[in-house]
Amino acid sequence: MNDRGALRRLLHEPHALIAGAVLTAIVIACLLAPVYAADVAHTGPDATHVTETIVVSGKKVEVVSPTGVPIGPTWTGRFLLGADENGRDVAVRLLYGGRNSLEIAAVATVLSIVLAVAVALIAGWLGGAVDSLLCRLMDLIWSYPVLLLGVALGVTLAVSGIDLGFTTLRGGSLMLPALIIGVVYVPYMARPLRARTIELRGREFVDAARQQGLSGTRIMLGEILPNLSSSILVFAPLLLANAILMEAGLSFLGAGVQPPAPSWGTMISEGTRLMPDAIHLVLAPGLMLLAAVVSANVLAEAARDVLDPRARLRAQPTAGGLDWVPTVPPAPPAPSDGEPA
Amino acid sequence: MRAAHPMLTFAVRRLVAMVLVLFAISVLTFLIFQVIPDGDPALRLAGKFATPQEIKDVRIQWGFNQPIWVQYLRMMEQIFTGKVISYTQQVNVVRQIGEDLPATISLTVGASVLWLIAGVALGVVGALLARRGRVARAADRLLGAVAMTGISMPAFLLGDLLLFYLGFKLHVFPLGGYVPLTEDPVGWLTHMILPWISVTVLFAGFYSRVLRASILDTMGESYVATARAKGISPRRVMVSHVLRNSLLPIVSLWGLDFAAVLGGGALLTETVFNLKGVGQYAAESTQRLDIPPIMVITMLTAFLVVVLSTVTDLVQAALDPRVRLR
Repeated sequence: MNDRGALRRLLHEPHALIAGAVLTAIVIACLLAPVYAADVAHTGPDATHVTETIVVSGKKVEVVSPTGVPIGPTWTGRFLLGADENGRDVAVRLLYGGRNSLEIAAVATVLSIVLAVAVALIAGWLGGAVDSLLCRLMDLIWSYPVLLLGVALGVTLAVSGIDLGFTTLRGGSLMLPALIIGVVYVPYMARPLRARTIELRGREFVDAARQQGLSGTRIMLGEILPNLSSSILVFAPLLLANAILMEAGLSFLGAGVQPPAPSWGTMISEGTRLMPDAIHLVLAPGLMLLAAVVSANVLAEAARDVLDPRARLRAQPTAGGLDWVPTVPPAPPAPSDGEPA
Repeated sequence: MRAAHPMLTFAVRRLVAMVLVLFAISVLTFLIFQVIPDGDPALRLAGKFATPQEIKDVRIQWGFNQPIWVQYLRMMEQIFTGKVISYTQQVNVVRQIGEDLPATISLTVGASVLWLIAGVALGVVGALLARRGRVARAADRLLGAVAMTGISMPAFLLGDLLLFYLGFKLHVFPLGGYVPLTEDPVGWLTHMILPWISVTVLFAGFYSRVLRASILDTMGESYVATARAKGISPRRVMVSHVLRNSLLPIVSLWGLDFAAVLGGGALLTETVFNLKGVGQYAAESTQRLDIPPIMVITMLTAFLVVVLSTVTDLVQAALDPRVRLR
């Protein structure tokens, strides 16, 4: 199918348009966090105002009451969405936190796609022992409880950091959760892409390319990869949605973004501790998170309907908003195409 | 020579696969925690104010001075003899998991029934509406939006909101915790309802989307057209031709989800509602960098997932003669 035509059709789907607009608005708002902090809220993401008072509708109010309860939303420039227990501006932290959450999710998504495509092409093209080895590796990651694997890696690496050879990620780096999430989700995409690569390998146009004397690498990148693009386009927003949820889950359990750096997950986690007194600390990041994930999931579904109407990619990696993701055991391989098993 | 019974071959293959998966997972878990430089368990076992000599003694006593593979074998031996002790709290891990299991079983059994019913109902209604007129299609869209919200919901956000509005504000339900069924059946029920609702919301949306798509796919199959052409009533075609086949992916999904939640997969829900189940134990153990409980729980989950997937494969083969056991 012509992908450009598909993209145009995607733009004619009203719910896809709305979802895309919401997601774009969230991204732009988060990118403008420094502007908002400087010109509207007049404070920074880590600045505390515990002992200060502000004037709300003519009355003087303490930012954090003597009993430790922060003020709720003022709906004015300063403390628009209220303060947290340290007297920090929730709206400012929400935008800065969104930067961290979205940055992690975006890096993780790109990493997952690159790794999954590499695994799929190499395993599907070479076959044999390489294929078996890579498949067993995917099976192993797949059959490990995803959230538990993420938490285990997150907790251990948050202490020590990791040496990747070409670069070293120190504990507390945002790239640590991104790396973990990116690796954990590789099998969900690599399996269907590998099946598709194997199927494409037997097609006439690949034979023709081989007859012309093209090298394996060129056939993989020039002939097979373009044919995987529609699957990749369907998977990208899906991975993004799951990566945002995963970051929040990891941070909630203390294995993701490390305080005092804000992220939507750490903010909800901090808000949960103050629960009955300050529900705005949970609601503000929670609803923002939900809006971002719903938009990404709606985009994924619309993209799937347009690009890949018969694809069995439906048994995709998103079940039950993260609490766990279906660990499909090694035995049954993913169906390659729309054929019944 | 007569070929072995296909069922037997299938069972043996699955058994071998399971042992390999469990082995690989245990090695991976052990290695992940072995790479922590600051994670020396001897430091934690000896306590905050230990002298270097005491730390050394602990290291020798617990065998942390031995090669990694010896430590690994020792731990596996302890796990399978049920004698494995956690590093930080120094309690028997198997006994602790046994104490945590009732809460997790309560959560899994109740929630899995609810999410299956809700998911199937939503999916069937959605698929039926999708093929009717304008108003019905709008209703299908609305159901789709509800399902999408459930799919996208972070577990802890939903739990927090339920606890806040129905617990703190309206005092309808208790504020988390677990009461054993045998001690106080009513208390057990009131404590379980919110966690059940929470997990159901998370799963039912996904199930309804999978089932709806599966029904719409199946309706396009030639055998459905044949059945209709033979004059079978639409209702019967729907129930015994379409639904029976469309439920196949749901069956395997349900088996795997059931296994994962039972194996402590609902870390976040259990933590938010303070159910003190296996999932919460896993979450707390990871935060304490306590290897033995994590080893046991990941292996338990993997074991349950493999067993349940084998069962669902058998069910699938029974439901659909096209599915062959491999």
